[in-house]
Amino acid sequence: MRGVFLITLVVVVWLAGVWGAVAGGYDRGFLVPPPDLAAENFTRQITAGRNELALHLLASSIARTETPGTLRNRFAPALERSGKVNRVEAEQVSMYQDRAVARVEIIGDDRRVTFELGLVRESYLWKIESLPAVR
Amino acid sequence: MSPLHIIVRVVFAYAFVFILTRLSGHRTVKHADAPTFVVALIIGDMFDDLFWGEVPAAQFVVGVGTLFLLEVSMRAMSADAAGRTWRRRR
Repeated sequence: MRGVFLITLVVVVWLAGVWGAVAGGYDRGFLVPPPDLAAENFTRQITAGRNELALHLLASSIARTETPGTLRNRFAPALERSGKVNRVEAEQVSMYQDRAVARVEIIGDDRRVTFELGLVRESYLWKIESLPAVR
Repeated sequence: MSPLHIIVRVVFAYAFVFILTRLSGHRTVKHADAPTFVVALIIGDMFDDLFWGEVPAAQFVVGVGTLFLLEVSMRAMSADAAGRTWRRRR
């Protein structure tokens, strides 16, 4: 039982370290997914049709108004234009304090569709705050 | 993603799993049994999620820590049960 106690102790110490780094050290991309990855992850869920899971990646301000159906409708034109989706890529455009912008590119068989997502840091994690005007 | 981010995450995961592996008591692969192998496979699948920043480090710590805890607890219980059987037979 000594091993169980020691492992529990290490896990607790490590979690405290993570919390210290993220909360106290204001870590925005080392031990938490950075904004570009959060945006890429969100878009991947959308392109895979997992809109319910994508809802969990939205900031509380827009999560109240969005539903899986509204997300599907919002991204349907983009997915139609891109054709069969082969890849999703994202890059960070800007980050200032608890706000960031990421540019996402859906690379499909027919064309590439690019849009920007606004992100906000909520509970130490990056969440999607503004949905795109897809062009 | 910058290489520095990846290096920090790799060092973080390596140190954490190294300490847990030492504490769990396995010194060589030959000490492992089938359940340990399965646990090793599951933990091995978790590493890349952290390296590429797909999950927060806290989730990695909780997932890997729980698996190590279960593994060590099961081994402690089975060793205890084997000891009791041995004493009864004597």
